[in-house]
Amino acid sequence: METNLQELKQVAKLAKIELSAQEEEKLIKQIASVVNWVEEIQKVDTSALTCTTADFTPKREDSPVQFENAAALTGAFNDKQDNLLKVKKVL
Amino acid sequence: MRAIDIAQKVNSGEVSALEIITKTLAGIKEKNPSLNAFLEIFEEDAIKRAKEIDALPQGKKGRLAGVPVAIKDNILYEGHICSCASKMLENYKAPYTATVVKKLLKEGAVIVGRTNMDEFAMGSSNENSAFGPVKNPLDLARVPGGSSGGSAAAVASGMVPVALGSDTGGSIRQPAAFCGVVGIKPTYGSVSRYGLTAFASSADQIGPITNNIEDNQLVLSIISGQDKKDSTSKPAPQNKQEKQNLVIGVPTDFVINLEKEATLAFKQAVELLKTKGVQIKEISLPHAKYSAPCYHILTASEASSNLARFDGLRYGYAAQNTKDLEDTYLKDRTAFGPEVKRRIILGTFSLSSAHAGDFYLQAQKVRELIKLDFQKALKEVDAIIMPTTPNGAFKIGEVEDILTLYLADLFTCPANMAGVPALSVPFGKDKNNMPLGLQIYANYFDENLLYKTAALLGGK
Repeated sequence: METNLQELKQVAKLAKIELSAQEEEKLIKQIASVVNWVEEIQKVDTSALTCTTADFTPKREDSPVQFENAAALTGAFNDKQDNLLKVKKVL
Repeated sequence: MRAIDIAQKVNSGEVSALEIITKTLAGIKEKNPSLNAFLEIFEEDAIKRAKEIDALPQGKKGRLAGVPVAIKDNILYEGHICSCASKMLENYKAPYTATVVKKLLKEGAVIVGRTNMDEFAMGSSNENSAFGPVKNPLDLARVPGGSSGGSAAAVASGMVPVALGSDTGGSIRQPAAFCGVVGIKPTYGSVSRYGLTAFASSADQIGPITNNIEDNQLVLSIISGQDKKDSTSKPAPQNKQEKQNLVIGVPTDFVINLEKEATLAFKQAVELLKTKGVQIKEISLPHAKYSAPCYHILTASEASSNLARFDGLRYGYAAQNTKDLEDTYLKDRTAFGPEVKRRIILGTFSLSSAHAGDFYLQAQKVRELIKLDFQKALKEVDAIIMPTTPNGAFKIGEVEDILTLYLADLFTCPANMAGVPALSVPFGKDKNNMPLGLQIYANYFDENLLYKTAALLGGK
């Protein structure tokens, strides 16, 4: 597959990565070369594979836990009002 | 001095923790300006802690009493900055302490500072730090490897006897090899990652870098164990029989295209093991060659998700004068360096609905085949050896092509893909007289066998 540079630029936007014109020129080409390299895994025959979920990450119980240093978390907010995180307008 | 000896002398009262720490801090101040291995020294905190240890009764100061330990800058230590060598987290203060650090402190260790690294642990040369590259203590013009390059350089230069690193695709073992020290990537799940900044959660592991095998084994035994705060952590199986008459596998279909000196060193290691009564057996790891591309797809995918949390709102870099929320996200995330941006974009691409089947899901399947290769091979042999890297440390700025840099992890990625433990010990020299590493792989939770094999190879 010849990686579509335009598509990678679109992906960068989706990932909320803003690139300068200079960065875009260099990074997107580099990523395209990596995509072309990692594509080699597509030739591996995986048809005989029977995947199980046995080794998947066990889920912990979904119950609330008290974090002892909550003040440090809210203290790190870049902008806040009272004890709430303040963000810029959405639209 | 070995960590074991420091702890013994501090416990017996022969030397005080304060003397050890004072000397260590002076050594760091002298050597670090030329190496850039430490991003910060916790001087005041370390001295206070040393005094506390000295106040404890003799013999009850812990197995690491007074031992200076450096931690990689992606491991949290409450109240101290943890920046992941990124402008994004330049001023981020840890709100809690990582489980591994708590365990070290409980045994009397003194955390003396945080070490430089590739930004968010992405890289294999330490040139990706936002705070300047680390220099290899054995040749200041060369890289120390990465991403735990600061930790390896801190140990190799004698600034500290122990440093913690993290290894997602070789980030402990490759710098250990480049700097001529010992580094282990433990079994996936054997060491808690609670308090380790996540890069790729299905592969990240914390492990020690030391100057010798004994110290490495001691530190690993202390930091290992199940932790309910990391649901992937598991207890080690009990009553493992110590193996006699070792059979060690050589994956001849995988260990190819080495530099001449690396080939020579590897052959010498095989011959040395034979003289120690080890049976050498040729084995095949047919899918191991796909480990590096698999690693790059999977870890980039996980990173694109894990690093989505860095939006500059709750903590981290906040751009000024942004228009709205979307603009805030975009401007805040300009604080990431180029390698982090590349991996986030690659990961987002691999997970996108148009490509997930051919990239992310196919890589998961190939990873399973890599895992099965190791499980099959480790039924035939007790351990597997291979070089840690195809060559020794290169010069800073010498390798610009990112694919060449990515292939530096060729022999280390398989351990992270399969989840098995692997240890790198110094063995041989390259054409520039820089150290090379020999890597030993073993079955899940068979770390003791790694140390035993390393000792046969004459590891210090």
